[in-house]
Amino acid sequence: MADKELLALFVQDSTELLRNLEQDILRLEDSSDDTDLLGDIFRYTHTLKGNAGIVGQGLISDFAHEMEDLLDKLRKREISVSTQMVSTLLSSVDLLESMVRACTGGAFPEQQAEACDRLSQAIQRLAQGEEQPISAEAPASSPEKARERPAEPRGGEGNILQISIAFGAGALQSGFDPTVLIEELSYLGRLESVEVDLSRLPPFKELEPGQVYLSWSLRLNCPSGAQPVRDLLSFIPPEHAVDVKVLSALTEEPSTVPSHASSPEPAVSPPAQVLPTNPIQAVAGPSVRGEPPGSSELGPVAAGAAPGPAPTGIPSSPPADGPAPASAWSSPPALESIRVPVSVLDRLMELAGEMVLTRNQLIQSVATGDEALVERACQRVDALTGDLQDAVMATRMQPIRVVFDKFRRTVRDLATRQGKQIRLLADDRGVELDTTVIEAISAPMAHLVRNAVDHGIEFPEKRLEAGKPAVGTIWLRARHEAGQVIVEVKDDGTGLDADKIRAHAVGLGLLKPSRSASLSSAEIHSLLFKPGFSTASQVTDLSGRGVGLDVVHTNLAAIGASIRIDSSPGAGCVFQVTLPLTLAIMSAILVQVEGERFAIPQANIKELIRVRAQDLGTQVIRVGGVDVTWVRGELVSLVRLSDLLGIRSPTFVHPRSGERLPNKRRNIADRRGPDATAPRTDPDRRRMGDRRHSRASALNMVVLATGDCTFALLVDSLLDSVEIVVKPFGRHLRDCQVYAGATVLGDGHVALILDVMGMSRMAFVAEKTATAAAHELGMKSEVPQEEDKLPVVLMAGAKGEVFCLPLHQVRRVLKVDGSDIRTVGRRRVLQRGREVIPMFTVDQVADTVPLPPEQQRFALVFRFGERDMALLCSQVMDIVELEDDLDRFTYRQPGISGSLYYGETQVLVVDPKELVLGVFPHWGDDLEDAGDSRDRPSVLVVDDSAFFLDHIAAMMEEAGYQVSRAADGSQALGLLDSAASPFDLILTDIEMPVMDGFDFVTRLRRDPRFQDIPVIAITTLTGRENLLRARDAGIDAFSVKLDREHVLERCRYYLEHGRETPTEPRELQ
Amino acid sequence: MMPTSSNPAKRQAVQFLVFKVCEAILGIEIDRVSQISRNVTITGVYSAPVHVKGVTNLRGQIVTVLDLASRLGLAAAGIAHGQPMIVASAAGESVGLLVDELDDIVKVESKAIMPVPRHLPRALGSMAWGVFTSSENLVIALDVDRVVG
Repeated sequence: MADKELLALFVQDSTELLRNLEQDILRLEDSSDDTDLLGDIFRYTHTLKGNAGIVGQGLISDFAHEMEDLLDKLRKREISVSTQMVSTLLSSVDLLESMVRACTGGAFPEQQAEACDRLSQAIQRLAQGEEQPISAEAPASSPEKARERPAEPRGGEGNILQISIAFGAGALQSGFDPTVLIEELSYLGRLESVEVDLSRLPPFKELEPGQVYLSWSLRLNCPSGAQPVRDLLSFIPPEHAVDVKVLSALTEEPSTVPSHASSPEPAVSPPAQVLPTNPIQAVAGPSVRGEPPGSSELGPVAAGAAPGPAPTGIPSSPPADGPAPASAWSSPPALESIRVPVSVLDRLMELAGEMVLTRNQLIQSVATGDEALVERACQRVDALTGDLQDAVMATRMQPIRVVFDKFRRTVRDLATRQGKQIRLLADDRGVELDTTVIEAISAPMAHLVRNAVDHGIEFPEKRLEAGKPAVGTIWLRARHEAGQVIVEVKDDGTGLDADKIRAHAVGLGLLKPSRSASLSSAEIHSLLFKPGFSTASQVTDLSGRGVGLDVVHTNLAAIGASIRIDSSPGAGCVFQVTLPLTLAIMSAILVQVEGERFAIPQANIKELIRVRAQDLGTQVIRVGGVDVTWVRGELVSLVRLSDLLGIRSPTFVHPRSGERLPNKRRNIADRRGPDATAPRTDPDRRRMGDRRHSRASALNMVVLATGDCTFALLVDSLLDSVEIVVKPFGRHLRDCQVYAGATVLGDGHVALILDVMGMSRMAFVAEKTATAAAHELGMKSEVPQEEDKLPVVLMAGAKGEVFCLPLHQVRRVLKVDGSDIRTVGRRRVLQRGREVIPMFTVDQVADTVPLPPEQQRFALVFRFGERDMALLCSQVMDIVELEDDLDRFTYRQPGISGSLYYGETQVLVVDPKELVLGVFPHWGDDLEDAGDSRDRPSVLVVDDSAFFLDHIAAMMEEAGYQVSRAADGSQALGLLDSAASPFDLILTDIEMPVMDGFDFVTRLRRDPRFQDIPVIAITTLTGRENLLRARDAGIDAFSVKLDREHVLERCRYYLEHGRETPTEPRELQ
Repeated sequence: MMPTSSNPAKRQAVQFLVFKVCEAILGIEIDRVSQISRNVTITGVYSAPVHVKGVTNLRGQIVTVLDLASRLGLAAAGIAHGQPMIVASAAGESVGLLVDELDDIVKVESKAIMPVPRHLPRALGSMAWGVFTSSENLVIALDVDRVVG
């Protein structure tokens, strides 16, 4: 076997050995009397030593040998297990692990040799029963000296042993290699002579190369007596003749064994480390200096706390144990080979055989044309394929125990270091997961476990105070549930402190103070996943270092997993992760849009909702230029899949004729024909079969969740639930972030798989808008006067310039693609199907950095008079609320009304009207015409919030109304009473102090003068109850505050049609 | 405009698959072609680059289908029914190329392949590596890597 292969095999083998070793050592702490356990530990170490010898890794086998010495004494009860010893042994395993890993990586780093020396000295001292663990400073002796161990220190006054070895002929077949044995013996002392007995060697012709014919007799000068040699030889089965004779016993005193050269001078150790006063310091102190830096959790501490000691140069341990820098999360080392049980391979082979037979049957039956046979063969193929799929999957399955086992160590180390007492209970229920999933969850899971140790479990004193046992418990549980795997990390610690989280979030600016009181516990918990959030009041090694739960969250979301938190204050906290079994095959729902089928991973689907067309008006609301809908009491944004896909001219299938017709609705909530909320002027409509009442006109919404972003996706139809095989896209399509890949459906056609994360990123503007709108709405009822902030859309210009446009002016955001832009002279327009929108850049009017055409990627559409206009920018950055302290001086110029601060950034506020007029001054004439018309309708706006009053008044003025304002119902009644001419229209808020909207309108209607004035409630209240109450009071329509278009449309409608007579009850939508 | 790696021109003779796209007569080396299909069912990919017609299922593998006419800047032709698709491999990936009409397979002596003339349209010129004559037609030899890349 080539050296490299041998070495690779050694590394693979040793890694597994070390893993077992680590687990057993961890168990040792609890059951130090377990002889079998000690035997196992000894054997693992021994095997490792032997293997290392074979591949010529002298340092490893030397070191393992040291460990073996210690373990041997443990086994013989010469010394007893201590926490210190377990720590040292664990560190040794770490060192061995990094040494093993270094094997394939070429040279052995010098620092590692030093660490190796220090640790082996520590082991030696432990072997002598010294409790004080590890010398703090670098050893007095040079590393080289320490490594020449067997010869020098022990040579002089040993016992001379005569060892004869005569293996049976078949020894090699059963895995015993005499040369290895001899080599091992040489570690125990100095080999003075080796004699080979050739007498059994047959003539060359009869020689069987696989047999052992030789026997040996060795003289070993062994300082520690015959026992170690006997122990070593005890591994050899009795059929081999191996014998040890003591020739001369010069000394039997083991205490003289260590050489003075390598024993540390106690004076060197600082007293603080001898006498542990502070538990954390005491444990962390020595480990920083003495432990091999291979346990890289210590890395950062060493760097910060102890500048003096030897450099820590060993490559970091696997990411699961390390402090997990952000980069290490994303790229776990690729797996090259995995172990597959032979039974699984046998099953595969068996299935392959059956498959061949069935194929033959199929071919034969097709040839003879026997349909019954073909059918039977097909059924067989179907069943076999299923079995085969399962069997192949099984080869990739790994027990989740592998992940859980790793955490024993993590928990132990962390707890010890922090002075906490924690036990880890793992219940894996034999759950297995696909290798890729296992790899992907290790790091996030490790973080959750560390979190539980760090933030969850309290210090023993505190626990006792709280009436809990001093020892905290962390449970790791895995179970199958509905085709998915649920993994829980539970602790019985403090639980999450909602107030602390709230305060922290407010402090970080993630949450507005006014909002914080109204958050549900789920909302509070979701704050934990926001980037940069950490509640640890003190920064510890691991948690609270910038890699927070947000990374956990993103990493889990990337593999289609989701996370949920449950917490009860004082009693503990559960993080529940839902994982897919595999990433290669998944369940998906097939949906259809524009005649194309798309697959949506089931893991992301929260629910499917069907909305009857006639319910659209109440279910879908247009707020701030986006559609939102209510899903179980939450406002989520509604995104049309065809929009995300960039389908320009949506169509719909007419339910009766089956034709595909262009869909003229621009907004989802737009009603077809006369408004659904309007009185039904034509009573025959329904009878004639309004399309809205057809089954096929219903809307299908798929509610999707990825991370903390939930949105509803509007599709034409829902087709089926299928198991799909994910196939990656070719390079031409990798940039399409809407798709995760493609799959082949049963009919051989290709369906594209939608990437929910990608879609949510694309829909982020909409999402943000909905959230902002929801906040606006929510804030209103809580703290009416506080808000002096202006919601704006931030957009990037060229070279880092940032502009903003007030949110209420933005009707929608379009993604611009070069082919949409048409240029005619100075006029540039954005063409989408038949829609033509004139477009501008800020630099056309204002003195700002010109935006190069290739950066004109997004367009904010705003209203100018009766038309849409588009403002181009390179990126829509965010929707934020800025303090309304407009600097109208520094940057004031045509097109720019001033500047605001967003954090440290100066944001130029765009004045869209000036911008348009700057480019085409004559377009202003149209506006003037509209504004100057003599008899402008008069409207009374009633709202207690100055902000909204201004906002709505401005909106109405802009639309050409004469506006009067009132702050509450009684003021409004006063105004109505004293007005010279009656108002044409009243817009009122419902929730107001002094006199609320219902009260106001009820009183209004009692006065015959005002009975015919249409009243539109502008509010956030929805729900049937409120609608009924409003109707009883005499309110004609409801509209959501920020929905400019809807409000104006309602106003126009009622000005034209007047109030309907109250005697005809209108069907409520 | 010679491709740098595995220059086919160095070989004695090169076999070409000759086909037509928008009146242009083009050829690609036959050893880059893995199959030719007709009547492929293409699934359109919205928001894909313009020259990507969609994807298709080729014996269980998802293959990207390019509209060669649009790729070469000749025209953005719609898909005609039964339009032939050449499946070519480049950089470890199979890609379908939609062409108008298949012509022939011809063998061309390496020395008979001439450099690309300068007057070709830009996109086409940048993706060609030579020209040769075949049955009195001028055939432009396409560099598959560049067409696909």
